[in-house]
Amino acid sequence: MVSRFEKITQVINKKHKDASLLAFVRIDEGQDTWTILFSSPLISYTGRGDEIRKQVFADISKALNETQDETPGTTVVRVGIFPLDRHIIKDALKFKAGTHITEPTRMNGNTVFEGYITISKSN
Amino acid sequence: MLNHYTTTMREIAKQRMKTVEALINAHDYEGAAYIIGLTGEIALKAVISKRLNFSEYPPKTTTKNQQNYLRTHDHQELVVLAGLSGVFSPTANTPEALNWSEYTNQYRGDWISRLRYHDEGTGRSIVITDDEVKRLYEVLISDENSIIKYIQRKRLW
Repeated sequence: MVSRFEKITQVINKKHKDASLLAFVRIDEGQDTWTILFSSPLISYTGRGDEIRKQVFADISKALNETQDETPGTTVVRVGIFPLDRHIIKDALKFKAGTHITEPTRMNGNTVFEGYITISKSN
Repeated sequence: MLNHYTTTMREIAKQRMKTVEALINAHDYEGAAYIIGLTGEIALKAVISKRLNFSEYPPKTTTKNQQNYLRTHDHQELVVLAGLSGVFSPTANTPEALNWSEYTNQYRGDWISRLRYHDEGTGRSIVITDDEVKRLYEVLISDENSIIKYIQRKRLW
């Protein structure tokens, strides 16, 4: 497991114990860039749920800055923080925590070329 | 003074913004999803045109070169050319960066093909619900910290 992603997972485990999903996926074809996916039952686009969404982004952003020199080749270009009902989240939750995706895998019409599922409350 | 081409691209983007609103009002969410992606792409190309002072957008050619790079549909490549990759990076803890993350989670790479064609693996296209389309409209256009409002506020096009 990539140490940078381990550290970000530690931050999420400490600050957002309600997290249902944390995944690091290489999903951009032909590019060595990464996407972080996060979901929890508390995430929404209004009120308290929206505040939590912004706080998760802030926490991940801080962790990304603190680990920038940690592991070369782990540039994160987006952090998708979504409610549990999003199809990409539902598909990602089919994988158990600890899964390392090494073969091209479909996820709501997307191809995941590589991925680490570090939190998955589906298991 | 802005060159004519940048102005044209900006006006096309503004027209497409109106098209998106009309499609959403008509509950044509599938059509709106497509035009939202197109609007973001044109907006970024307007920014690039201004930054590089194009009199016209470079035509597509048959060889891999700079011009083809500028013709890409890939928002992540366009944002680099527009000089905005730092602004919209998740390491920039801003509302605009959060909106960009949400927007490009849907409109990545060859997003047109993924929206248009069926997924060979599952036999279905990428699934976007009506609520997700409304949300994509917000992050690109209507939210106070939307991608296009950032471009307008900073006079980037």
